[in-house]
Amino acid sequence: MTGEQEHKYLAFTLADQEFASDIAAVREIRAPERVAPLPESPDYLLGVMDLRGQVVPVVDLRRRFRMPPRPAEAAPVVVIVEVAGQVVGMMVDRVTEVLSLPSSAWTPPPPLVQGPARAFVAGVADLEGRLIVLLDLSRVLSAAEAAEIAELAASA
Amino acid sequence: MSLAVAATDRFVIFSLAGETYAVPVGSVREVVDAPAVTPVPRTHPSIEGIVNLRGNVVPVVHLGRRLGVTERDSRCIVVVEWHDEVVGLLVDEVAAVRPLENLQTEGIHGAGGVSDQFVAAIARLEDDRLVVVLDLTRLLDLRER
Repeated sequence: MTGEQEHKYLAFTLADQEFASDIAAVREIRAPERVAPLPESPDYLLGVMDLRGQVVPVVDLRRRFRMPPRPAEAAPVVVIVEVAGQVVGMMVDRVTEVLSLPSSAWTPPPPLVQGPARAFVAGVADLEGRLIVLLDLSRVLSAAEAAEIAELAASA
Repeated sequence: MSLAVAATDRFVIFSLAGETYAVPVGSVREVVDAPAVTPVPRTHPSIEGIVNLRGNVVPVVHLGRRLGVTERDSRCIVVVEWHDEVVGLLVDEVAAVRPLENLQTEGIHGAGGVSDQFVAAIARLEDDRLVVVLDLTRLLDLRER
């Protein structure tokens, strides 16, 4: 027994792939009620939703990751996180579980995994043969992109 | 050419999209049947994803896409170790491990339908098939330019 402390991670799916986020980064999970589209916005920005009076931009992680569109019958959920001081909703297909894992369960992505992924893929863990990709949801958008969608949401 | 090859070297010979390629046997750790490859969003287009090989997370290169010869998925992974990084290459089938005679390393153009930058050498097999020896250094240099 090493007595290594376990952390909690929110596991979710996108296009049948498994991802996770440190649960400390997650403020809440909501159904995507009344997401109002915004004109002339980036394609990954679905629109804004009202979160107890606060206008929150909602990003579709499928579009952000250039995955195939979500089937019409899907019932996605919005994971509310904070990005550079802005509250942002990240739409995922399904929240599957809360994982308890030691930090050492995650190995960094191999150096050959280049491109934008380097900024937001925080690690990879093997869960009984399934590889789960740990995302840093605060870095899925660049600082400039986060500022842009915050501005769009503010003018909505 | 950055890959020094000699006639005495042995090579792992494999097929991909109807062409025959080779890498030095010393660079190959193992050959595995492609387990499920986990995609990584927004990485280099030639990276098919990652796999877990006995506890090691290994990136997998879609060799057909990297070479520009096919978009089709392959089912066999040649795992190479190159400059301290372990990398899987998706290929159709491993055919042989053998030496290659009469390696030509100079004046190669358009061999095997791949960009000259990826070609370290070529050789002819007994049945007159052309074997393209790949330059792993160039192949695995995926930095943005």
